[in-house]
Amino acid sequence: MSVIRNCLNDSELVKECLKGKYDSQKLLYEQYAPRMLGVCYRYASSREEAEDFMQEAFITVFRKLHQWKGEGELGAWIRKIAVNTSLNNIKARHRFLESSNTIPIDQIPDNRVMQDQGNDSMLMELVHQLPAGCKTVFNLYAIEGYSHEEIGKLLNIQAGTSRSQYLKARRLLMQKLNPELTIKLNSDRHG
Amino acid sequence: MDELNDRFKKSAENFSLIPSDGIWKNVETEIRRRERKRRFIIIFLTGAAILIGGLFLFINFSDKHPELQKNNPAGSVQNAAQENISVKKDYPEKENAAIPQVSAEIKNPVNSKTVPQIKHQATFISVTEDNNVSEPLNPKPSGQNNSIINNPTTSQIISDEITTSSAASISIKTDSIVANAKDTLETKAVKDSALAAKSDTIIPDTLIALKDTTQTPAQKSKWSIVIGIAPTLSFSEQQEDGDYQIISNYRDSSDNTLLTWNYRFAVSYRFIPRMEVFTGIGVINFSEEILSKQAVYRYDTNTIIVGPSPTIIVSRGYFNINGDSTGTARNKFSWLEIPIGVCYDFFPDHKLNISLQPEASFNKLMSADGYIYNYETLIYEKIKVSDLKSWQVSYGIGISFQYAILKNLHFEFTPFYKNFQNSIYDDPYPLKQHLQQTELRLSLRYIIK
Repeated sequence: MSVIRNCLNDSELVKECLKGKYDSQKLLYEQYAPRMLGVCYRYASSREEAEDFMQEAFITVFRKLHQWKGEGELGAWIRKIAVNTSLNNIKARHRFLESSNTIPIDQIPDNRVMQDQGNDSMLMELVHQLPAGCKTVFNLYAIEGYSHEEIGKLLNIQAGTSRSQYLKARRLLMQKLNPELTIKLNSDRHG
Repeated sequence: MDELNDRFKKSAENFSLIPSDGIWKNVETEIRRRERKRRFIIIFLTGAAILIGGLFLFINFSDKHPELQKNNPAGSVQNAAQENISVKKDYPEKENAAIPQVSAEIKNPVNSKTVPQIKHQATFISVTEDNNVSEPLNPKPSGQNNSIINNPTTSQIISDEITTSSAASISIKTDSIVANAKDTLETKAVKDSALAAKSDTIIPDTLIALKDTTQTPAQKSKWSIVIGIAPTLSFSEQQEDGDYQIISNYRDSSDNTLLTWNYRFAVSYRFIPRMEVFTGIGVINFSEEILSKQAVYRYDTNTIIVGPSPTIIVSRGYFNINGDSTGTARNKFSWLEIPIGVCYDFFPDHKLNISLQPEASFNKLMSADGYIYNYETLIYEKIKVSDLKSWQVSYGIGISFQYAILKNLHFEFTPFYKNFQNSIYDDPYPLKQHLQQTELRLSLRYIIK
C-alpha cells in the first residue's frame, strides 16, 4: 500500500478509484478519513454521530468522485463534502438550536478539560462540546470561513441570529480558555 | 477576535481522529452495491435495446417478405405443403422476365370437389430494360392456363384469372426476371402508390387457399396457461410518521434489499384478437438486510420553546441487535399473489410479439421472519405476523416480448414493475415501508387447443 501511496498523486489516485480498483479506493479512504472524522466531530454531538456523518460523507465522495476534475486539492473537495453532509444531517435532525443530550460547555467540570491550552485535541474538544446551535455557527464562521449571511442561507436562519450564536460560542470558549477573565468579569458585574 | 479564530482554525487543520474499523467495511459494501446496481441496469437496458432493435428489424424485414411470417397465412410458405401445393419463391436473375410476386405450381391435380373454387389474380409488373415500370396490361379472358407471354426484349404485364378447380395441372412460371428488377420494383412501388397498392393486393392462388382454410392455433384457441419465474429486485421507500424519525440509517432497507425470486401460474382468455384477460396465483418474496446499529430521533412536540427559532427537544439512542453493533440482520417476507390483468398485443399472430400487461394483485401475507424496531423501548424485537398488514394491493405494468417456439408454445420475457399500495407494516407502527419490485419474468405460455 505504501508503494502505491508514494507513486500516485491525487489525479492518478482518483482515476484508479473510478476504475473500481479496491486498493486505490481503500487508500483514498485511509488517507483522508482521519481528518474528515475530525471535521465531522466538530459538528456532531458524539463520536458515534461523527462517524455516521463521515461514513455518509465518504459514500457521497465515491458516488460523486467523477465530478472532481483535478481543480483544487482533493482533500479540500472531500472536506467540503464532509461539512455539507454534517450540515445536512444537522438540519434534518435538529430543527433546534439546543440539544438536550449535550452537556453545555459551561457546566463541564474543569477536570474534564485538558489543562494544556495549546493542545489541538483540547481545543477541538471544547468546540465539540459547545451547544449545537452556536457550535455549528462557530465552525462555519471561525473555521470554515463563511460569512454570517452565507451561514444564514445555509442554516435557514437570520444573519443576526448567526452573529449572536457566534458571540455566544466565543464567550463560552473564552471562559474555558481564560477562567481568570471570567472571574474578573463576574466580580466587575456584581460590583 | 481574529487571533482566537486563527488559533482554532489552525488546530482544526491538524486535528484528526482514528475511525472505527467497521466504517470502511460499510462504505465499501455500499460502493459494491451501487456498482452491482449500475451493472444490472446497464445489462438490462442493453438487453432491452437489443431485443427491441432486433424485433423492429425482424418486423420490418418480415413486412417486406410476408411469406416469412409463420403465423401469417398470407406469407406462409410451409403451409402450402399441407395442400399439396408447392410454392416456389425465387427470383432468378434473368433478363426480360416478368416479375411475379410468387410463382405457384400445383403438383398434384385434385378433384374439384375437394379443392375449393378459388379465383385469384396474378399481376405481373413489367420492367423494361431501362428499368421503367409500366402499368399492367389488360387482363386476358379467363380460362387460359398458360398465361405468360415472353417478350425477348421486354417483359410484359400479364393479368390473368385462373381457376384452380380444374383437374388439369396448371403451371405458372416465369421465364426470366430482370436482374435488379426486384429492387427496382420495390423502389417503383414506393414511388408509385398505384403500383404499390397493386403489389400489396396480389395474393397468389395457393396463398388464398391458405388464408381461407388455415388458421393458427393462436387464432382458434382462446385459452392459454402461463408458468413463469422471475428474478426480482426490490426497492422500499421508507417514511416516518408522527414523532419518530430514523435519521442515521444510511443503509436503510431501500438500499440494501436482496435479489429474490417470484413465481406465477396464470390462465388467460383471449376475448378479442388483440386482447386477453388473465388471472392466476403466484408467490412474491422480499428480503432485506438491516444494520444492527441504528439511530432513532424522536421529536417531542409537547415541549416546544418559542424563540427566534423553534426549539424541539430530541431524544436519541443507539441500539444493538443481540449485542452486536457491527453486523446485519435479515428480514424476509412472502406473499401469496392473486393477479388480475389484461394483455394487449401489438403484433398478434406474429412469431415475435410485444404486448403491454397492466395488472392489479391481491397479496396475502404468508410469512414474515426478521426483526422490527420498537420505538418505545428502543430495541429490536422479532417480527410477528401481526406487525404487518395481512392483505396488500399492488399495481404493476410490464412489457412482454413473446416468441413462438412452437405453434402453441410461446416463450415470454417480461420486464415488470410492481408497486405495493400501502406500507407493509400495520398502521400503529410509525415506520412506513412501501415496497416496489422490478421483475424480469421468464415464462412459458401454452395455448390450449
